[in-house]
Amino acid sequence: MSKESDSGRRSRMSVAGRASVSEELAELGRPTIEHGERKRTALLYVQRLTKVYELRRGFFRAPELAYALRGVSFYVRRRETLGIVGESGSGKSTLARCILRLIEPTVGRIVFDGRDVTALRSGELRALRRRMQIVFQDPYASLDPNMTVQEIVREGIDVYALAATRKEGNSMVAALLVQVGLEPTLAERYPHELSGGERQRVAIARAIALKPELLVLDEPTSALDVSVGAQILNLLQELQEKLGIALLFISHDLRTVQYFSHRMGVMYAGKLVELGPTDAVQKRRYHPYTRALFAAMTPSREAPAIRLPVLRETPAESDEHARGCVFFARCPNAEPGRCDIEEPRLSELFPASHHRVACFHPQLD
Amino acid sequence: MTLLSVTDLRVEVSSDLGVVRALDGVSFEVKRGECLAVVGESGSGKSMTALAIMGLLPVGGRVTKGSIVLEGRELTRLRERELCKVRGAEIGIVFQDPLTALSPVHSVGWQVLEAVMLGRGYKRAAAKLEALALLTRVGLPEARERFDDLPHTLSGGMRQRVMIAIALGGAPKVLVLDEPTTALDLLAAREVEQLILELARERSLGVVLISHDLSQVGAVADRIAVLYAGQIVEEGTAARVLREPAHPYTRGLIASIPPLRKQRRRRSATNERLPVLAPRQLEPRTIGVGCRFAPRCPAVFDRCRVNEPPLAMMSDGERARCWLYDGGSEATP
Repeated sequence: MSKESDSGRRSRMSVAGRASVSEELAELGRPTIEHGERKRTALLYVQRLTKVYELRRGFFRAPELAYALRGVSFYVRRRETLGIVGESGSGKSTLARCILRLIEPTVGRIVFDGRDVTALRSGELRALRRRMQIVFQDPYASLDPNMTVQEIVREGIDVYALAATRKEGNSMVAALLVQVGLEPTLAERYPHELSGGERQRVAIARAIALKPELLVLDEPTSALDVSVGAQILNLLQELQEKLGIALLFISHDLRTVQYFSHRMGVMYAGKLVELGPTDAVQKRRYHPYTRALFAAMTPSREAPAIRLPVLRETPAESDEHARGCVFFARCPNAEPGRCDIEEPRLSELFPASHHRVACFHPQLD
Repeated sequence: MTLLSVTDLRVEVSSDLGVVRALDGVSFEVKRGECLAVVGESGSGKSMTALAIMGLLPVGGRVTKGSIVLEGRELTRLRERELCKVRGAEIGIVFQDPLTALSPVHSVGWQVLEAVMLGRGYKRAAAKLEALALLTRVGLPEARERFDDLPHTLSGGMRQRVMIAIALGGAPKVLVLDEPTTALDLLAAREVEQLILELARERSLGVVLISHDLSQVGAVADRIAVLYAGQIVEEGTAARVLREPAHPYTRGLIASIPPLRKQRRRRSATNERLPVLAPRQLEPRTIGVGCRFAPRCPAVFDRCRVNEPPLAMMSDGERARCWLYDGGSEATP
């Protein structure tokens, strides 16, 4: 149903008839001075990233807008893991794809290693892609079934001419397979001959073959059994320590994110509602949504979950939230007259706490 | 009082590759108002357990040994026509993905209404009232207004609530739920689990909850049975299994769940790793010789490779299939 807009400019024009929306998009695109020094030294800096889809519900009806991302800003430092947690439809996969420019953001800026990459053309984009790689959720779908493990891992090495000779390329593949914990003899196998965990290891070997500085992980353990997922987490941790890769770890699984990340962000309806060092987020849980998520993570009969009002439709589909807080309809702390009109910005409650929340009434107990 | 009892159940599935024993000697009981969680990883046979109870085994699959008794009635020997009366009216089922399980072209109200008519023999008007009451009970907001809505207009959590209403349509005594919250978001999953628990209590239902995630069943299950390679390897009260797992497999599963942050030091400072089980063996097992978990077991000793351990009683109702607990005396692993 959704139709992707080709470029930011075209999308902005198509919504020009709607004053409030176009004003909002213009506001989102305005540069900010948030983050200061940290932003300049970060490996990846994402500013006000917004992705709007047009939903055509009928030929003669004006398209409705669905916000997949609403002004998401954050940074990732070198050698660090930033975890992003959110439920389905919160825009976390859109975020991953926008950063790699697999889909184009409507508004916003992506700065990688000090360079604005938002508008790079194909040639420059290719050089960039070597430096940031992605591992997808489903290793059954993300590996070409007609290629052997050798060919899959080898493809990137050949595209970027990282090996001088054929022999050198082969030994690079063998070393990579060992590095991700696979027997080099698996090189001649096809993906369907491997288990889910082995396939995900192949996907990781393919990604690190290009020696990237940033690895985006979109639900890398969600399709795997718990015990296999734990092995993949350990492998990623080991690779980060050895190779110094920065990881952007995106998952719906709060338990994994809070375990795995140095810093974490919580997404709701395309907006980052809380962001900070994992220990601080886990301890303080300023945003009511973060609080409900953490309460739901450790189910027990003694401490029942926080009950939030149930929505009729998923928040991302609702156009009503173009104004005000995205969480208004479900929030136990909502203040009518403010939260439904004004949009809370992601800001630090205490100066230099590095812990940011987008809420007018954060929970401070 | 025992409602459903499964005894020494064996299910074999024949395909082009030969006969696979999907379940081998599975036994458990479910009482009224009690929830049993059957937990296992993919391939452990947990879905086969659910399907066998319903008499819905896939083509090529059949029960070759053992019995399934519901209130004194043997289900494995029933003919298809008789089974049809059991399904819905005596056993309700909820599948993982409500969007696949629901009819996309019938309204949610009609689908519940149909279940009430077929399961209880109600006339249409009475069935409609009951369907409305059920939809309200499972927490569909504005049930009267949404009665004629199609499933795709509802969120995932709401669809699963509708599935539960359909399963309750025939006023069953047993509810079988196959991964009911796996496709749902965390908050929606918790609410659906809470609903299942409430319904089990207020309607004295026996609940069989199939799940792959040991960390998620604690809030609902009274008892937990852990499946490995078609066998129950551990069974007991949920509190005991989760706090003091006995079988090395259960211990490994619980250890590989990422711990909460406050329970540990900083990862970067300690190079901490999750303790993990040895990888599963992909080669075909030689069934009948030794413990099936022995190739992956950190506590394996000579006897494990020669003799298969029985599901030994450790204490009242607490069972483990491991030589460490043979004869009721616990050895130090």
